Amino acid sequence: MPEQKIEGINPTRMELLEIRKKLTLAEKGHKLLEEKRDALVEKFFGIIDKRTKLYKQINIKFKEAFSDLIQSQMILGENKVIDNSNLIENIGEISFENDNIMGVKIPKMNKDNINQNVKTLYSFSDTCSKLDDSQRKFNDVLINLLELSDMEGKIKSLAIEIEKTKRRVNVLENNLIPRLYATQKYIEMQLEEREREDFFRRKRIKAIMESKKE
Amino acid sequence: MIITGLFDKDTAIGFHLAGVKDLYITNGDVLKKWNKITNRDDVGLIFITEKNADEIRNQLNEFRLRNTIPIVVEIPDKNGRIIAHIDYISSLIKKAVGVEIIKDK
Repeated sequence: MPEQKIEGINPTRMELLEIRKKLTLAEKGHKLLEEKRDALVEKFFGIIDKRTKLYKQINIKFKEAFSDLIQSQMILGENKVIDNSNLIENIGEISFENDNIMGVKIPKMNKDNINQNVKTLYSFSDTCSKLDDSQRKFNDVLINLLELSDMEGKIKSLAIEIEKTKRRVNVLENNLIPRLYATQKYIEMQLEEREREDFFRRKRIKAIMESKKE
Repeated sequence: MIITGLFDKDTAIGFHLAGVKDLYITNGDVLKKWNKITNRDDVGLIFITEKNADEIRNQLNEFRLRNTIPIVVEIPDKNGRIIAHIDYISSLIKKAVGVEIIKDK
């Protein structure tokens, strides 16, 4: 990639000082953003590992729960299962708090109001044990699902932030900083060239003056 | 905030048994029900079966981009996960890190 200087800059000493200031700032910012990106990615990987494990577990549990549900439907009939499914306590509600990782707001689920073991209110004499099994399994799956969704929410926020940070780091690294360096070099060269011209001119004038004196 | 879901009939029974009462059961009108859910402002968590999710994929992706909460989670239905299905979270991870990390066997 050819190095490009920033357009519209006069090669003066003032501008050179300005560019130097900008360059130190950009480098400092680049370092900070890089650190932020690394910290976020580290956090991200931790959550991903947990999430993958849980995801597989949930898939297996879902299969078992559904097979129990289908069996209970076979024994009791579909309508009776629907009737009985309405006779179960409500699980309760969730709320959200904001967690803060490196200045990124991340939703954190508050599960204090969740009923971990919902009471079944249907009659035991009318129903079969498979219904109980499937009820327990679905409840178990749901508790796991809450955890999974908490993680997925976190992953989503982190992923978006990582993408943003990565873009910023790349812009600084590949675009702004090289351009600042190129501009700095350009100004320095121009100033040196001017100095040489000046020097030569003075010598020349001196020579002319001396030749006139004689 | 409440937990809700957009399910087919059988999955809905399962979640009823688990104690989630506020459910929307679809019968070919996924988009209508989805709009009903998104118009509510007390929803914290939406479960949706993958089959339903595939039908409203565009709306779902847009919704996820705009909102952090409610969280939308895709779950398998009674036939299990769709094998060719692209997991939203995996695609996010791929986009953020640049490589695929999760290999499913």
